[in-house]
Amino acid sequence: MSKKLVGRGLSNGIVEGEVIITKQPFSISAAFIMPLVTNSKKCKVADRTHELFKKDVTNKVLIFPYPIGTTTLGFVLMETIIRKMGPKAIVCEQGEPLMSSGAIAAEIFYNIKFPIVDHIEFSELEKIPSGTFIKVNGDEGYIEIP
Amino acid sequence: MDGDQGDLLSKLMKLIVTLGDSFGAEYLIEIVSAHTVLNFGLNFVNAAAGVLHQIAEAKLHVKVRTTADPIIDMDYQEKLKTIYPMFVLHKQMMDDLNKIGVRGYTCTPYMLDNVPNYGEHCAWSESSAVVYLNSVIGARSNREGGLVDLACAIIGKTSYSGLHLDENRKGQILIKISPEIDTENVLNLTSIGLKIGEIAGYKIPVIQGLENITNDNIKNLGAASAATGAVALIHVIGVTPEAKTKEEAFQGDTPQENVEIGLKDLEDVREKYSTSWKFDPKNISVGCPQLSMREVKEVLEKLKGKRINQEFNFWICTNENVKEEILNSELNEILRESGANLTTLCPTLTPLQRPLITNSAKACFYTNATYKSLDECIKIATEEFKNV
Repeated sequence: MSKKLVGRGLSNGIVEGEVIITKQPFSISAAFIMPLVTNSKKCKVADRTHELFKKDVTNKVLIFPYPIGTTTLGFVLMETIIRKMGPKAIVCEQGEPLMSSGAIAAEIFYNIKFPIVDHIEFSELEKIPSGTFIKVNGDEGYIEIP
Repeated sequence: MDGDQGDLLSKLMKLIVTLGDSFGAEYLIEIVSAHTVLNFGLNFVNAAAGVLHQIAEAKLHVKVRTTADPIIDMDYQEKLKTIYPMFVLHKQMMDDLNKIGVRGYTCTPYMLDNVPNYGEHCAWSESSAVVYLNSVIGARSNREGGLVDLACAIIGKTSYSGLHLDENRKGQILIKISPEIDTENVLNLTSIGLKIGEIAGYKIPVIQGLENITNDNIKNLGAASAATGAVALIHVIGVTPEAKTKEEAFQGDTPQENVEIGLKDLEDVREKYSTSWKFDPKNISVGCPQLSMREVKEVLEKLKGKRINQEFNFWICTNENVKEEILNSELNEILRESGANLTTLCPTLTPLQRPLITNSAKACFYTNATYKSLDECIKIATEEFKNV
């Protein structure tokens, strides 16, 4: 019996994938610029101050409390989406326009969807262990956990 | 208007509106100024650069004063000839930005002529500039993203949401700076910035105990907070225009949280974000955000009569106007004799050879640099000078 956690869809798309979760706020720029610059096939977190440092988030559903970092994060996320080398969806407690702009622009200009769902309490999210397969529905703004 | 223009304009509008919708904006408002971060030229901006190129090809033009972040400094192409080829998109992006009417390349646009008035609405990116705009100038901008910023500049509008509304500018966390901290010390102030970002996250911090901070140092502190947190507005009680008093900063409400920053916190953030190297440094950079004229003069004053060890490059990072003015002034003599490089390059983005030492908390956060005070940077750069 799956459980539905309803939040807010910040960008469109419906995917299923394996969770990688962190309680630490996440800097998309600090994490992903290096793998992009070096043309890595895998997206290993390059932020050495983060507990996910060196962890591979490729094709995972990335869950964190909220995004941090500079205003490059929109197009950094957009680039990982277009290259299909980053996570396949993001779920967080509180998103922000910077982050979702990357996903929305990817859909508008490149026709590739990347769902982001926020407004789910982190106290609920943190019960989902890394490795769990979940469904992320950005169109309607919810996630489904087993 | 031809088909391409119309199609692209509606896509740019859709980007702004979709984004606004998800964050509860009911309508768009006119802006007076924009600043874009979409100017790197490195290969991680291919997708966004592709859109910029479409915009330029369609002959769209910005509607408001628009500046862009700095990029590489062509005056140093010989010195950095192994690095510059990495900026594969540089020429295309500069050409495109020029075509659409962007003028001025700096992370401190408020030090060129892109200076909105108090209360005016803007669409700025560059996290450090947004903090300055909201906090010091009292103009209003959310942290727009690269590409959204350009969309807003071309449409001339942004969503009426977030920090554009009075009620969303209310302070949320009261952060007291412990009197044990020497707040005249810039390294302390930028370390405080790193800690504020960690504490505040996406909330609005109100700082008590920095009554003597200069605007330059709010720039430096705010840049650090915007790196470790999603900070876009910092009220400094008794200093910034919306925080003449504590009551005003909290709009008459009580703080959601009370936190104190002490000396131990500053030691902790330095330990956490600074990298130690076993090798001698190759590059030392000061200024990120770019230094103001006053700050460059301070660096040159400290460099007077000294020479940079030839084994290092010492970069003094500032905007194009300050650079030109210094190069044409008598201070150029000190600069030349010191062997330091006055530059508009971005030390966070330019992959200068490591080990790198910097006085910037922000640059340190984004690079694996060693974080030192300006005096220490200069001491390290000059003390082992052998070529007398």
